[in-house]
Amino acid sequence: MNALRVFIGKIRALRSGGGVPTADDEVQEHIRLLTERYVREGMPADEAAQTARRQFGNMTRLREDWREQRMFPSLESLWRDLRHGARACWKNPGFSTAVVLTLALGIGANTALFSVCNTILLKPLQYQDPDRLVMLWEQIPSVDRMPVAPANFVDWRAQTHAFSGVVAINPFLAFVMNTPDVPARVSAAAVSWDFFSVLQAPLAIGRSFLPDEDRPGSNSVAILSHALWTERFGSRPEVVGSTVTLNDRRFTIVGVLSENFELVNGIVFRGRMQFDIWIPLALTSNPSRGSHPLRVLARLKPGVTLERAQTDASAVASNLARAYPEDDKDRGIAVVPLHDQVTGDVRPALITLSGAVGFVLLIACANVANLMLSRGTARRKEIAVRMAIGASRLRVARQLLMESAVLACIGGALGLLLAFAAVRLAAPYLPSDLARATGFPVDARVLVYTALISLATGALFGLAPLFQARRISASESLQHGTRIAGGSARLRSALVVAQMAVTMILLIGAGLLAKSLWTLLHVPPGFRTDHLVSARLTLPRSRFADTARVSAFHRELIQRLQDSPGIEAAGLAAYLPLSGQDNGWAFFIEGRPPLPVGVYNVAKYRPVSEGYFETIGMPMMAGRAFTAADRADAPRVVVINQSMARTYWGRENPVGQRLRFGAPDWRTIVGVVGDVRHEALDDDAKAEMYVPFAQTPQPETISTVIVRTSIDAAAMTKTLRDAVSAVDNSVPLDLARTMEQIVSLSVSQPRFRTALLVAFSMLALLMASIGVYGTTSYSARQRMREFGVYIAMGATTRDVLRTVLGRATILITIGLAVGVLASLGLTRLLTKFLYGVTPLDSTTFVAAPMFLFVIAMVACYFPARRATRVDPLVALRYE
Amino acid sequence: MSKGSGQPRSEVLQGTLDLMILKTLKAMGPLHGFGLARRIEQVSEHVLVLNEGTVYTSLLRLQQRGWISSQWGTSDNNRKARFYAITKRGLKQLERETDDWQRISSVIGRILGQESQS
Repeated sequence: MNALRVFIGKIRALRSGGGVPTADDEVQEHIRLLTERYVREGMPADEAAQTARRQFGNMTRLREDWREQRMFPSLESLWRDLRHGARACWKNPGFSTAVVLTLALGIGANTALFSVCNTILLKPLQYQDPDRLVMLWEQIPSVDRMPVAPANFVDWRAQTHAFSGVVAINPFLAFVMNTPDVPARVSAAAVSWDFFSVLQAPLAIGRSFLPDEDRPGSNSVAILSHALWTERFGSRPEVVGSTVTLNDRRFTIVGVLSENFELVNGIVFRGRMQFDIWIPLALTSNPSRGSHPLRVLARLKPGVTLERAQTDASAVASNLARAYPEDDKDRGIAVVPLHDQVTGDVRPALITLSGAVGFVLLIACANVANLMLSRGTARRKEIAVRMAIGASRLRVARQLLMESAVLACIGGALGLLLAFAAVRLAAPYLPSDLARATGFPVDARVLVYTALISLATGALFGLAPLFQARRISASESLQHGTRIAGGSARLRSALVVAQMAVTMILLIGAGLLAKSLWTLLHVPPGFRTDHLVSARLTLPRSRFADTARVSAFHRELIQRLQDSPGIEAAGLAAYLPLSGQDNGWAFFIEGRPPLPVGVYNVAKYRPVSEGYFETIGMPMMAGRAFTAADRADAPRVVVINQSMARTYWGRENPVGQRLRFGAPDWRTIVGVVGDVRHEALDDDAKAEMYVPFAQTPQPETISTVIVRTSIDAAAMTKTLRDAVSAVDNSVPLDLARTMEQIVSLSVSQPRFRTALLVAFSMLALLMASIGVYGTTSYSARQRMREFGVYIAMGATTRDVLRTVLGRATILITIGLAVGVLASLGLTRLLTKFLYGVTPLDSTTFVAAPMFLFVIAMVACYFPARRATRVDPLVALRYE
Repeated sequence: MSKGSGQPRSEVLQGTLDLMILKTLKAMGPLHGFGLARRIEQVSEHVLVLNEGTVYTSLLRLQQRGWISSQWGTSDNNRKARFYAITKRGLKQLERETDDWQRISSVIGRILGQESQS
C-alpha cells in the first residue's frame, strides 16, 4: 500500500513539473530568514549568510537526495548496480561459470530447436498471400488425401466458384537432356499454364506459359529452374528464346524461375522439391478419370472462407459422383490449407520436442536457482551488513537481480552461439525429407525468443535469493554462523525433487523412442539390405517407346553386369522398396463376380526384371520367378506377394489363376513371392503384383538397377556407369546408393527425433546430476560441525554416509515417483511416434528409473564420502 | 547560532526527524519549513544539531507517504510560503510511532541503566 502511495506521489511530482524549482524557492526563503535572524542577533551580513548556509547543510547533496526521492531510480544508479553485479560475478569465477554454462546449455538447446520450429512452423511460405492457397485432394473412405485424376481436375476447375484459380502439377516426369558430353537426367514437372501466376511466383526472366501452350501439340515450351539455368546455361539471359532438347524433342525456353522459388514439400512428394524443368501440363481433350497423378492447388477468391470453399467443392464432388459413378462414387474433395499441408507431418514431433526442450530449460533454471540459493546463504552476512548501514531492501534486491541478469545475459549470448553451432552441426543429419529443409537460419525472431528466455530466467532465479534477502532482519547481522533457514532448505529439496521428476519424464520418453527405433531397425524388411548397391536409370522415352526395347536394354545391362567382377547378381525394378516411390492399379480376378459400381480391388504395381527377386533376396513361396522367356510377345504372366495371395485367395492356391489390370488381356499368376515392407519399415506389407518389364501396360522408362556385390560398394558406382554406357551411352545413371543408405534414409525422421530426445534427456540427466551433487554437498558442508560431533562421539563412516545419503535418497525417490506418475500420463502423447512399443512399456518404465536412481546416487556419493572424512577437531573449531 | 552553550550536542538520528516533524505539526498546526526548524530548535533547547535542509527531505518523504499535506500561503511577513499540515493518516502514524519509540527508548534506557550498574 505504502509503496503504491509513494509511487503515486512520484507520478504527481512528475506531472507538476518536477516541483524542484518551487522547493528551491522554499530553500532560498529559508536561508534568507535564517540570515536575517543572525543579522538581527548582531552578526555582520556576510558571516550571517555563511552561518545560515552552514546550518542549512550541503545543498548539492540535498538536491540529489530529493531527486532520488522524487524520481524513479535513476539510470545512473542502475548502471552502478550493473557494474557492481558484473564485478560480483567476476569475483566468483567458479560459481559464475557454473551458472553461465548451465544456462547456456539450456538456452542453446531451446534456441536451436526454436530455429527449426521457426523455419518450419512459423515462417510464412514464400508465396504471395500464402494464407489464401489451398490444396485440393480427392477423398475416398479409405484414403484421406489422394492425388487427382486429370478429368476430375478439369471438372473441378470448370465447376467450382470459390477459387480465383485452380492449377495442377504432375511431378512424375524425368527427361534425358541431350548435351554434347554425358547425357543428363533432368527432373521435370508439368503444370497448368497459370500455375506460377496462381502461386504469384514471379519469374526471373522471360514469361510464364500462355493458355494456348497448355494444349497437346503446341506445348513444346519450357521454363528453367534458376539452378539449372545457372549450372547448365551459365546464367545467360539469351537462353530465353533458345531451345533445349529433352528426350530428343526440342523445347523453346520461354522463361527462368526466380532464385528463391521453392516448391514446398508436401505439395508433391516426400523429398521431391527440386524440379529442373517445367513444361505445360497440356491435358488431352479426353483426359483419364482412372489414373491419379496430379496435385491440385487453388487460390481462394477474396472474402471466401475455407468453410465456404469446402462446401463449394463438396457440391461439385457430389455432382461428379452422380455423373461418373464408376470412377467418382463416394469420392469427395478435401480442401486443405497449404500451410497445414506443409507442416502437418512434422508439427506433432516438433511440438513434442519443444516440450522436452522446455523441460531441459526448467532443469537448468532450477540448477541456477539452487546455485544462487547456496550463494545467497553464503552472502547473508554481506547482505545483512549492507542493510544495516542503510541500504534499502529494494536496493539490495535490485542489486541481486542485476547480478542474475548479468549472468543470464552472458548465458543467453553463449547459448545463442551454441545454438548456431548446433544447428550447423546438425544440418547434415537432418532428415532430407523434412519440410522446407533448406537450412534453418537463426533469425531475428529466434533472437527475440532467446532474449526473452534469458531475461525470464534471470528474473526467475534472481527471485530465489530475494526471498532470503527479504527475511534477513538487522538483528541477524549481529549473530554469527546461523544455520540455513528452514524455508530455504525446503525450497532446495523441492528443486531437487522437481529436477528428478522432469528428468525422469524425459528419460522415459527417450527410452520409449529409442526402443521403438531399435524395434523398427530390426524389423525384417523382407529383403536383404547388405551388399546391395542401386542406381537410377532414365531411358529417353523417345527411343524406348515400347516394352520390348526397354526389356532388351535391361537384359543386356544385366548380362554385362553379371559378367563384371565383384557382381554376384543384378536386376532392375521400377519401384525399389523404401525408396519412396510407389504405384498401384485396380485389378480384376478371372471368374469372380463383378464388384459393385465404383468399388475396386487395388494392388501395388511393381515392374521388375528377371533376377530381381534373387538379387534383392526375396524368397519365392510358390511357383516360379520371372525368366528371360517372359518376353513382350510371350503369354502374360504376373507374380503376386503373400499378402495378396492371402487376401484374395485365402487357402486356395493362386498359382495358375488369372487376373488383369491396366490392359484387357488376362495374366496368369506364375508365382508367389514373400512380402516386403515397401513404403516404410513400420508399414505392413500391402498386396503387390510383380510384372516383367517386357509385359507392362506401358513402357516403364524409369527404373532402378540393383546389384549384389562382394566388394566395396563405392567402387561399384563406376562399374554400373560403365556397364550402362557400354549398352547405350545416351542413358544417364544417377542416385547411386547402397541399400543400407536407402533403409537408413527411410528412418531418418524417427531417428532424428529419437536422437534429439535422447540428447535432451542426457542434457537433463547431466544437469540434474550436477543439481543433486550441488545440493548434497552444500547441505553436507552446512552440517559439518554436526558430523564432527557424531564422529567424535563414535559414529562410523557408515553412519555418516547413511545420514547424508538417506536424505538424498528420500528426495530422489520422491522425484522419481512423481516423474514416473507424470510419465504414465504424458507418454500417451508419444503414441504416434512409437512402433512396436506401447506408451506404458514396462521395460522402459523399470529400466529408466533404475538408471536415473543409480546416476543420482553416484552424484550424491561423492559429497557424502567427503562428509565422512571430516576431522572432528577441525569441524568443531570451524566458525 | 549561540556557540557558548557548552553542552554536548547530538546528531539527529535518521527516522527520528520524521517523528519530530509529525509531532510538531500536530502540536502547532500548519507551519512552513523555517517555522518547523525554529520550533524544533527551540524545543530541543539547542541539544540537537539539525542540518535544516534535511527538514525538507523529510517533508517530501512524509508528503509522498500521505502523512502530511502542503499548501502555498502567505507568511507573517507577507511572503509566499509553503505550509505543511498533518493529515489523518499522519496522526495515526504518529500515534503508532510514538508508542514504538516509547517502548524502544524505555528498553534501551533499562539496558543502559543496567550496564552502568555492573
